[in-house]
Amino acid sequence: MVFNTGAALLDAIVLAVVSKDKEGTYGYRITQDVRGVLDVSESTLYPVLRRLLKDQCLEVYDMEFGGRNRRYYKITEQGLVQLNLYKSEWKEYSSKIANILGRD
Amino acid sequence: MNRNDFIEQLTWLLQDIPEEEREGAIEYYQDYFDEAGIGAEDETGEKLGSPEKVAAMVRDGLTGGNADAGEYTETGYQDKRFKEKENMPEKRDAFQKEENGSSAGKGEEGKEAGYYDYSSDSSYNYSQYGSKQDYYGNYQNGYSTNAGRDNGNAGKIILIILLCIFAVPVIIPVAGAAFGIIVGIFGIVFGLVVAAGALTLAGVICGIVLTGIGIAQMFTTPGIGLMFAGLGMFSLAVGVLMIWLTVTIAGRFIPWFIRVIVNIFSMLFHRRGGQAA
Repeated sequence: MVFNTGAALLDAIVLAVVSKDKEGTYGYRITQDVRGVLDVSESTLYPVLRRLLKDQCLEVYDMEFGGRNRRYYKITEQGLVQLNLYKSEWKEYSSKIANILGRD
Repeated sequence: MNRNDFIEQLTWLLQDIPEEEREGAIEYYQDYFDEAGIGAEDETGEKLGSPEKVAAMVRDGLTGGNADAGEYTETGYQDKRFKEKENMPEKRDAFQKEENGSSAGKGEEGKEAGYYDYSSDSSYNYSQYGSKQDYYGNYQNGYSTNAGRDNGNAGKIILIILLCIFAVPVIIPVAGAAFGIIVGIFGIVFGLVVAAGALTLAGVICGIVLTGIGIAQMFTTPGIGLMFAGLGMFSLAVGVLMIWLTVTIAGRFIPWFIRVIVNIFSMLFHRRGGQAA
């Protein structure tokens, strides 16, 4: 991958990954899911998750798992609005790029 | 690096940030080790990178304003501020290229640049690089905007000429109509003045005559004489009122009307002047 990923695109991907699970998901899995599509380092996502929490796009709750607390991240209403914005922006952006690069 | 060392160092590195933030970050990375599994702790420690880097990223996230400073490249997270050593030579190369480019165009500055020692004092070079680019950039900008303005002027003049040519069939009837309206209004005003003057004259003459008849009649038939005298006084009053009306129309309304027309014309010419300039 020679193209760089900006902060907004990473926010969008994290929101999309978290929104896949209605019950929410936890930090390690978010990292692995994002790393499935994007080659980010394992320590990249903490600041992103923290920022999305602070912007109230995500919320957290703790649930017991295997004898300890596991922190779950869940998308909020505001996060869904933001994700939809990102989706429509991405649709426009990617179709424009595809118009240039996608045709031989 | 094993888990305990990692957490310990991270805690130490983040000791000056707010407690809530520090605990949040430490908890997150504790959880992360837990999820990765007990057997994979050393490996996870390697994957997370050095505690210094992780701490720098946590700290960077706190300021919030620098969300765009870092980029996620194929080699992972990249933040130019964390890679100062690699940035220095890049900028120096760019500086040298810029100097070479400008020395071709501008002899004096190129010669001047020859005296700089690139390797000895990099901060000095940076400041030179910045200011020179600014100067050059401003010069370019000024030049291009001037050219643009000239083109715009030529275009405007052609447009105005075309507009005049196409406007002739419209302007002549419109101007004729406007002239007719102005002359007509003048005629009405003039007529009003003449009528008022005539009424004045008639009123005054009528008044004097009727009053005279009335006074003469009063000696024979006092009732009729009184009536004539009254009518004469009334007529005189109307005549005096008409003097006032005539003076008002002639002395105030006509100058006002002329001023309005002059204003309209001067406004038209001023606006046209503004467009040309």
